[in-house]
Amino acid sequence: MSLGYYPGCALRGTSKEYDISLRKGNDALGVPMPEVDDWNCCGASAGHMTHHKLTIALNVRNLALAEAQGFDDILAPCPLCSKALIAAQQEVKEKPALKDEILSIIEMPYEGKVQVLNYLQVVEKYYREILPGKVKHVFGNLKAACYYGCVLVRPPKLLQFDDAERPTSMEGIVNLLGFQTVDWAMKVECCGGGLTLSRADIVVKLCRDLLRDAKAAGADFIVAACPMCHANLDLRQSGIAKRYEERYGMPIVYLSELIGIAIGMRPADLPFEKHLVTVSLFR
Amino acid sequence: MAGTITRLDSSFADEMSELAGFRMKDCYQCGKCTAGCPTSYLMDFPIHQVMLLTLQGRREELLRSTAIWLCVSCETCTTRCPKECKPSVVMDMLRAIAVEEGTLNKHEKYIIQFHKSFLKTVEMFGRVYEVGMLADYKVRTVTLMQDLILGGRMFTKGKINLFPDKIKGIKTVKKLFDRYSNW
Repeated sequence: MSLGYYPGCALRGTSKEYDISLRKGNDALGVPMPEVDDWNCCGASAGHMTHHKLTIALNVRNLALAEAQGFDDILAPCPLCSKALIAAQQEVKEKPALKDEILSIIEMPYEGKVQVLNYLQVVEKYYREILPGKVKHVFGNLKAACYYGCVLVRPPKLLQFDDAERPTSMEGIVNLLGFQTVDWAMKVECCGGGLTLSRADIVVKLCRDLLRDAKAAGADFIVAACPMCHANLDLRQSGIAKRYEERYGMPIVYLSELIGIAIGMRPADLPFEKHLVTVSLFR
Repeated sequence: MAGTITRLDSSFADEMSELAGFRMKDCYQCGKCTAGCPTSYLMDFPIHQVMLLTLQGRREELLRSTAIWLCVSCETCTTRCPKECKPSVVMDMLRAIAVEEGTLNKHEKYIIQFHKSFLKTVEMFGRVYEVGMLADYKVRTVTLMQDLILGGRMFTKGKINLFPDKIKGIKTVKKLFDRYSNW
């Protein structure tokens, strides 16, 4: 089995923490994962919200590249990317005419063989056997609220991953890493996603609801596996303090960073300095 | 405009059923979609009403609604629909038609401009270029001061790249934009 890496734009820019920690964990666990060469943007919210066929086409190019480079699986750590890739795969499977049209423009063959995986699926499939022997179990008293957000689990018919309303796969991994998890009501609620710049007021409201619930459930930190979820929850806590006069100081930690901590990396080895809310839990 | 019934389009429900891949008339207005919608509290037409207006052929009002732009595509509606309708896909299709025809809501111009500025940099480089996108968005919306401090903090933390990341296959990406986008 060969696993390729489709980082996506967010992990190259505003969410570098996710990329850096993911690569470090991967190296430490000895899982080879070369990057898909010359990948393009999946279109993100802007694409699928306004230009359906363009978004399909952009992602068919990515899938065709991955296939040509010989990958069986590709990891798309951003759930928006992985959903867009899977949606494109599905659509051209159902619409051969559209597939031919797109392939004639990109001038590449595409058979539809590559499997797109989110980060949780890669942990399950590629890390699961290695991880237990590597976990140090140092922070067993810390409680995590596992946050899935939207498109990691929705729409379920398309993604075929975990339970859309009460998913538990992330808790399974976080427990395996030696942390406790809390039960909370809002783990699949939306953070406001791509409205972060254009309608920050909405994002501030939705993230405040999430933080309040996680805190009430007794969480010491929130675990995220989506760059948009992380960015909104981390960046908007100052806006929440201003608007609601509530200071959460809730660390938002990527699952990839948590894996690093669990297998014995020092906090200084991980990109916590890029977070806006200080992460000082793992000292 | 919201509140005034404009021209009806009797074939709109069929057109939408075809585009979205389910029968619009299967919707029985239970409201479960709206109950789970995170932004319905701000919409002129909450999602169950969008479904009804589509069925009634009130095309113009829908294309000019704030609802289609305030939808965050969280997919909760489609996930929960007891009739297996796909309201989130209806939203995608309504936005696509509004963009194609240029019938855009004026109140939510910031959201629309964000999408435009975002895609513009993808067309130029093949990947998002945040500085370029932000500059384009801020100039066109005249919101230079908004989030200035936050942007500065992100920059000092190395979260914003100064230079774009241009792909080798940019010509192919441009061809895709020429074929499938009119922005």
